[in-house]
Amino acid sequence: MTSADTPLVFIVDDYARMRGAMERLLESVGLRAETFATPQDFLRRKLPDGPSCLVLDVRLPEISGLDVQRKLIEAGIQIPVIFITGHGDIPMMVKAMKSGAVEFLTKPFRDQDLLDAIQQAIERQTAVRQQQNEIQQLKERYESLTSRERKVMGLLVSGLLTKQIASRLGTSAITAQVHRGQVMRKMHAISPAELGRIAERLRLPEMN
Amino acid sequence: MRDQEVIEQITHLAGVAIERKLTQEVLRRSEAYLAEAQKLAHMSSWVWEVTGRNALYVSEEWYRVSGFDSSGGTPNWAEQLERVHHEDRVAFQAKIDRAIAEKSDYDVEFRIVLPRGPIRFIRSVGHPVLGPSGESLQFLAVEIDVTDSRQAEEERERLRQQLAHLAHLDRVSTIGELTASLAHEIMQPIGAAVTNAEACLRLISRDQPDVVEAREAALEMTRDGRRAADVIDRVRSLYQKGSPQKEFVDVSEVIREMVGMLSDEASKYSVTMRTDLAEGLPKVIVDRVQLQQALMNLMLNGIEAMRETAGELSIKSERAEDGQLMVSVTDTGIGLPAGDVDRIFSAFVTTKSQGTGLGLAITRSIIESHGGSIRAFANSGPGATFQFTLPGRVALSA
Repeated sequence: MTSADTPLVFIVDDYARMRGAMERLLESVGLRAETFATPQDFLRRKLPDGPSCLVLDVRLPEISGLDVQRKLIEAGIQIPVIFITGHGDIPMMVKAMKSGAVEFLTKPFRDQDLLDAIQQAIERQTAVRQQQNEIQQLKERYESLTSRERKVMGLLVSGLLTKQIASRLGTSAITAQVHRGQVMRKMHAISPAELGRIAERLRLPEMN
Repeated sequence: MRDQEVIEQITHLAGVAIERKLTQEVLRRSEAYLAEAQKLAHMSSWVWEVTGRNALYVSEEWYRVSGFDSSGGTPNWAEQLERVHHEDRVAFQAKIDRAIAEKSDYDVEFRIVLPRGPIRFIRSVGHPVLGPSGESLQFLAVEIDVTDSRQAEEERERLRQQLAHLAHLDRVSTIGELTASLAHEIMQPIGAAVTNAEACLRLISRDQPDVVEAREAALEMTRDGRRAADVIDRVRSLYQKGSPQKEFVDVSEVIREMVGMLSDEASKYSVTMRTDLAEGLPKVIVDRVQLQQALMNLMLNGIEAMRETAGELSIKSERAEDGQLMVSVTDTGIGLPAGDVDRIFSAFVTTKSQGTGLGLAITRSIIESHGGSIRAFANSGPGATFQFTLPGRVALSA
């Protein structure tokens, strides 16, 4: 039942029985849980490639949950965070949500709320990762273009026709046609419009 | 016969002489006792006449009390007045003048400044001696050195203010922080117990129930239940610390103290404070610090309600029905939450983002434990009024 694809939930809470209770709850529904008494212990842990999220108590003895969240962002560690707190503190809640927290639960929370939040966190992580993978793939494709092909792509994206590209580059229409074909094939684009969207996702500068 | 008469005459004279001697002895002794007693009590007596205000008689102790040298003779009125502390002089003279005009007793307290600088607190009580046509001729007066008790009182007052200040700090920071941390303390075990209960339910309702783990969860729940109870016990013992010290207290005076104490807090949010205090109200028998705490809670709530808008906080004391005193704290702030207004006095009910929900609950318990009652209502204009009553008591002994 537990495998690398089973979401791994990290729990940071200074209250031992709360850690135990959450671990028990998550395991009762087939999730994997790993608990930490302090955020420092958690930060030392290398994060897995598989789906994971962090359930973080806002009020911790030495460093606040919000600071932990900030540290994670600064270190470029992308893990969705679910906050839990002993008493609802609205300003704190707003701050946490603005920094990208998935959910802010007030103790005592309903088990289903925590499970829903975990599911949402995993889905969000999956979506983010998928997007990152796609962009990574597009980047690799773009990097496989020759410098001339990149130029052709730029001009295509600006809306120039093959003939205009040829005259702009001082080549024959046939040659331009060949370059265009290469760009479309290497970038896996079926139309200049799709190529435009790819350029946008890669944040390529406009060319005229 | 003649001899007999002479003898009788002599015996009589001797008897008179002896008797006089004895009387003089008694008188002398009684005067000595009086002087001694005056010395012990720092109490002196003197008689002065209204015209010219000259002293007709002063007791030995009078010199010591008023700090004059007896060898310099009895000082005149102007010399005496010179000694009266300049801040007290006008009030002193006014009281004496009124006693003369009204042919009444006077009872005045004032400070005198002795030549080398020390200050003495004197209480002077005078009784008019009227002439045949009813005019006041003389005053028989007693002057008492009350410096020791005054200084002790000042010291007490200073201590009390310090205490009140501490109580204030208690309310402003400690109680707030304390209750926040208490809420956390109580929520920890409750949160864990609820999660364990839910895990336990899931573990036993599975197709293959995990009884071992469910049992463990149940055990943990009992531990957390006890822990939450312990926390509450600790809080209770905290609040029960020190039995209330009940005394006769002037409510208006406590209000004035609180206004002084909270003036910084009020001006921080541009809140002006106004008092409308009835004079001569009967006193109440309360624990002064608790009454301060109750008032402070209401006043701070009022200020808090106006922190965004500024406004006016008015505190009124008045006589109510059935010998009750009524105190109203009115703000021009955001007003009361809609719905059941009395709910705001319940513990852990708060409308403030930073509130702990204990302030009004504590206030109500203080007022009710002193035999009073409290209510809140919306003003016809903006804001809310919190009003409490306390039974007024007439002090039997001054």
